[in-house]
Amino acid sequence: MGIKGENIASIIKSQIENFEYQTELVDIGTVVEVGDGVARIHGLSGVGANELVEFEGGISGIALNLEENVVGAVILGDPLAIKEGTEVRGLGRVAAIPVGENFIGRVVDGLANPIDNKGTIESTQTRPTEVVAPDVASRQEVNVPLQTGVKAIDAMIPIGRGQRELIIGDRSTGKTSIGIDSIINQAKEDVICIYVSIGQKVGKVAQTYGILEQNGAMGHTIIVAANASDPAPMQFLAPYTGCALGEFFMHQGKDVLIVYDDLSKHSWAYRQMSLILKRPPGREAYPGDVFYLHSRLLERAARLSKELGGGSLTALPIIETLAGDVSAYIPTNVISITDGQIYLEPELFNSGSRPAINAGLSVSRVGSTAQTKAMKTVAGRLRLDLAQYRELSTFAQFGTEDLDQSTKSQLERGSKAVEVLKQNHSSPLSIEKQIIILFALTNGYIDDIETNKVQDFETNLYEYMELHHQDLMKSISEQKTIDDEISSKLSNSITEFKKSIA
Amino acid sequence: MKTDSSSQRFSQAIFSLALENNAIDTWLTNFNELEIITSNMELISLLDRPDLDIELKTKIIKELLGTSISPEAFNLIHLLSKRNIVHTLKSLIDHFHQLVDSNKQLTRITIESATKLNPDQKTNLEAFLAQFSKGSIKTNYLINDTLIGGFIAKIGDRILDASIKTRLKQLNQSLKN
Repeated sequence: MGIKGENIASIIKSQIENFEYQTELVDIGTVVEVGDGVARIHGLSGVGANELVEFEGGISGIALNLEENVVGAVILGDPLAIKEGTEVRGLGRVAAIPVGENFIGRVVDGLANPIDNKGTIESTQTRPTEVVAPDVASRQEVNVPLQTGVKAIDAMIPIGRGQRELIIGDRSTGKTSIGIDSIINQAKEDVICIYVSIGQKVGKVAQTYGILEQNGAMGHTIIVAANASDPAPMQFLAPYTGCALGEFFMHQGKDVLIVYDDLSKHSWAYRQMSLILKRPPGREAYPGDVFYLHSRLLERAARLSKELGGGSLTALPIIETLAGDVSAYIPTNVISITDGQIYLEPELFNSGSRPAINAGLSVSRVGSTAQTKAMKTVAGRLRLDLAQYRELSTFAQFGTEDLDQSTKSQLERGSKAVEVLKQNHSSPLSIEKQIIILFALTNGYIDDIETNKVQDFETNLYEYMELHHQDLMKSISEQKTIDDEISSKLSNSITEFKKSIA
Repeated sequence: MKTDSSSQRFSQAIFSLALENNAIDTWLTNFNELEIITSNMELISLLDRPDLDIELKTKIIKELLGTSISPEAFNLIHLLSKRNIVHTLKSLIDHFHQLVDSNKQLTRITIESATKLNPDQKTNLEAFLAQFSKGSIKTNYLINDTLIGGFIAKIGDRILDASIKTRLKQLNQSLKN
């Protein structure tokens, strides 16, 4: 150990010498009622909305309801330690969390305290959890792609840096997997990732941590976890904490990806708090400001202008629907806030086409400007073709003999496309590999492969290309366009490969 | 402790009535007399019983207080018992005292100290605390030896904490960080 006994003593001595305590007038109040994670406080006449308060014993809270005679505050900690008559002080500031580089690779709770038993996190800066989103002048257009490594998304529903793309679907349809795959793929993209888990089972968070660790993704990732066992106020705060951590990096000019898993549970936590605070319930018993709850969070996703460093914060909120009902209150709210959605279907998931993305219902409103030219060339019509194939395949169930040739070939191509877009979880693909396989698909090189052999063909093609055409793959990823030269080289190499396996 | 908004309305009404009739002192003595009611929980719950006839309640009040209070104060108790809210009387009186204080621009300050303060210290402290009040101040001294040293001044809803206890707590916190 480098620190000797006397060093420690001298450090403590200087700390004691430099200790400054300012006596100032503070607001106080007393708890008159406490229960369900909410305290009603008499006094605190000068407290502001959203101001941080401190209960006797060091537990903090946030003053949310300022009424005529009482202040309603949520408790951020063990509510059992607070009793009737406990003294409360106003701290004169809003909730803020420590931020910094040292958070990368760590698991923290809703107030950014470490919960991974790896010791304290050193930081010199703090950021308020609630800030106003960047204004028009400090933003620029979203035009740099964020590669998720998922073929179906990068080809059909491209996401740009600074975009907000909703992942929506029923339970166990692979929503979290898409978020995790996107995080894993950022290892080589130099994007810092934040995974915010809200109201999840502790076991599932541990599993997610395990997957990220195994795939070497914790080196650029922070996990913010407010688990199902944590009080509702912590679950309510977690996404804002995650966002504040992300904004720190965004303002340094870095690119950040943040996954909110999931905002349905976030709105449940807020509904619980609001009902206990006796705010009037509205539709589905959510309070009136539940729209603003998510809009102010997701508006903080942005791509900053060059003058501000050009950093970005891309948000992937997740919403869980019940029995596919996208017209429920919270799903429609978040759909209207975000710049598009990835819709996952249980039917597709169960039929084995995973990721179970419904190409017809999924859109990306700003992503197409962010898609690379190469990807646009090979995947331009893919979404439309796939949607048409789904329509046709319903008819084709009655028999394909009477169909005309063009319909038959469309069906054939569609079934191959479905096979090509299948992808295992935790195995993101680089952009050049995606382009190669989609080039092969759209130019008809896969038409004569049997449907059940398409996936073998795909893996072998990647191996072959890596072995024999490294330079071609490199030029695709560097040039990001498919000119005539690359196009002919690709055609030749795929033909060569097909000869080799024939 | 907890003031109901209805008791605030009542005390405001009484206060403006007292101002108009120049009868603040009469009301203050009235309220002193009413301590018979506020200090007796059983009596309060009896007067708050909705099933009891108002005439019976009036009779009880009359016999209890006789002519020691003014007719206005009697009407107040009558009204409160008619509405079954006699339990708000205590906070009503507290709030009335606050209104009287603020009308006189008087700030009540409670000072807790570890040891008994000598007159010099008191004069210094009061001169210092006068800056937090627009008018005069009225102090109430308490001894609290858990403070170790220094003092705590409570000015309405605000607190000025200059105790050694709190400083040590803060030092402890800063060393932990």
